[in-house]
Amino acid sequence: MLLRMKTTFLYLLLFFIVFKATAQSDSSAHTSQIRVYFGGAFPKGDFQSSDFEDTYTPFAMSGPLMQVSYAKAIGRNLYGGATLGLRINAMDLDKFAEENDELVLSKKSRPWQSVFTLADAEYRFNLTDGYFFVKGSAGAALNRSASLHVETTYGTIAQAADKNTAFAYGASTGLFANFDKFELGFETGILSTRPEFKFTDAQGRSTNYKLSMTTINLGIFGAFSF
Amino acid sequence: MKTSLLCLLALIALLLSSCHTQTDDFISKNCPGSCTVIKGTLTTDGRTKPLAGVKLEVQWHEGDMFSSIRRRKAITTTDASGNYELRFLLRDDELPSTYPDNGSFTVKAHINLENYLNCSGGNILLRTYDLKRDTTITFDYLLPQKAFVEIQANNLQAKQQDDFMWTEFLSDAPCTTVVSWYTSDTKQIIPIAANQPVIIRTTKRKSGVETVTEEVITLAPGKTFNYEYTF
Repeated sequence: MLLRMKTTFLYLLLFFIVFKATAQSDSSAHTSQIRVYFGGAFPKGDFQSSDFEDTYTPFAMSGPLMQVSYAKAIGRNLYGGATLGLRINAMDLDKFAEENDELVLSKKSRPWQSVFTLADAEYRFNLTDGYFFVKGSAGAALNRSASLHVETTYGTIAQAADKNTAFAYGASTGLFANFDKFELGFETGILSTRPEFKFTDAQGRSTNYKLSMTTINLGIFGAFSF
Repeated sequence: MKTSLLCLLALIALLLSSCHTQTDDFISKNCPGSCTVIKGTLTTDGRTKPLAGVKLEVQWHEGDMFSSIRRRKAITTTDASGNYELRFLLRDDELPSTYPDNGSFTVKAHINLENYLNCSGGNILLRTYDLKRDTTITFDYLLPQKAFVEIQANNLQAKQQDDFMWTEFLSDAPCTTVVSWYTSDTKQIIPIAANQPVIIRTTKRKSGVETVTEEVITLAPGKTFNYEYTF
């Protein structure tokens, strides 16, 4: 899936560069930009773990990442702004229990979810037909852990979701091409937060644990400059 | 001919290796009911000091050299007092059945085997063949730190046909080490329990007369004691 997305993005980029010439204008005249991003978030490290030794195994799978950003020029090629983002990563229930597990009657879960509010600093490099940019972000994320409900022949395994707000940061880079006031581009980067959740086991004993929820992101965006 | 033989061996090795599987049983780890519980305390230094923060794991294993299945059932970490509780759910194929088709459960400790003395020579603390559902087993385990005795036997060439000599290392430890002395082995290094009394008892029969000598030592972890005995 990752390979297919990468290929799609590369073709898109090629398309932008080839067909850009007729629509070129001087975007430096625009001082503000609103950007709408959609892409995939691919868990890394502890977040993607299916390790039996974890206190609470996340089983996070790749999922969608949506972001809306505002950026305003604050210097030559330097932009400051803010991003509101939503990231959703489902649990891989087939790793928790195989599809044909004789003990399991039913299984369901609600996904991991993070809502990001980030302050951004972006630096743009002029290209012939657009811009290459690097962006750093810092802020907060309201996180919700995944919930789990598995009915078995010997009882129910139920783990409730928990919420926690934690510091979040990101770094990304990308390219975009100008079409007068509109831009199209792609962006790749990392987004991370480390909330503390409460895990309650079948005996009712609670444990607090910190989980690094880090994803590598890859997506496309459309932008409007004014 | 050689190439064909090598290909055949490679094929056999591939077939054999593909028959050994290891799985993680998350349903068991989050036991929803009818649980089997193994609990107790893990200590060292002659049961005077709790071993905190040691990861313990239950595995079920069934098979032979050609095919096997290993299933991780539960995992926990000892608390500050050395207490632990392993709670897991037995599947139907793990219930006791008729020998030799019976699988076994083991409790394994994630320890550095260079520092701790364990009977199995590995990290297995307990092996059992007949666990049941809805059962609690209490299992306190002493896991001594390791010290060493370098033993030297002299004059073994004087041994006659009816003579014998052996040396035992006795302590409150999960197992006892016995060294039988023959003419060829005159020097050995034996791991023993540290920070607790260990009796070194040597028994010999020479010319029909049997004698027993004992020496009690307590060694710090990692230390070596030199013990010499003349036949």
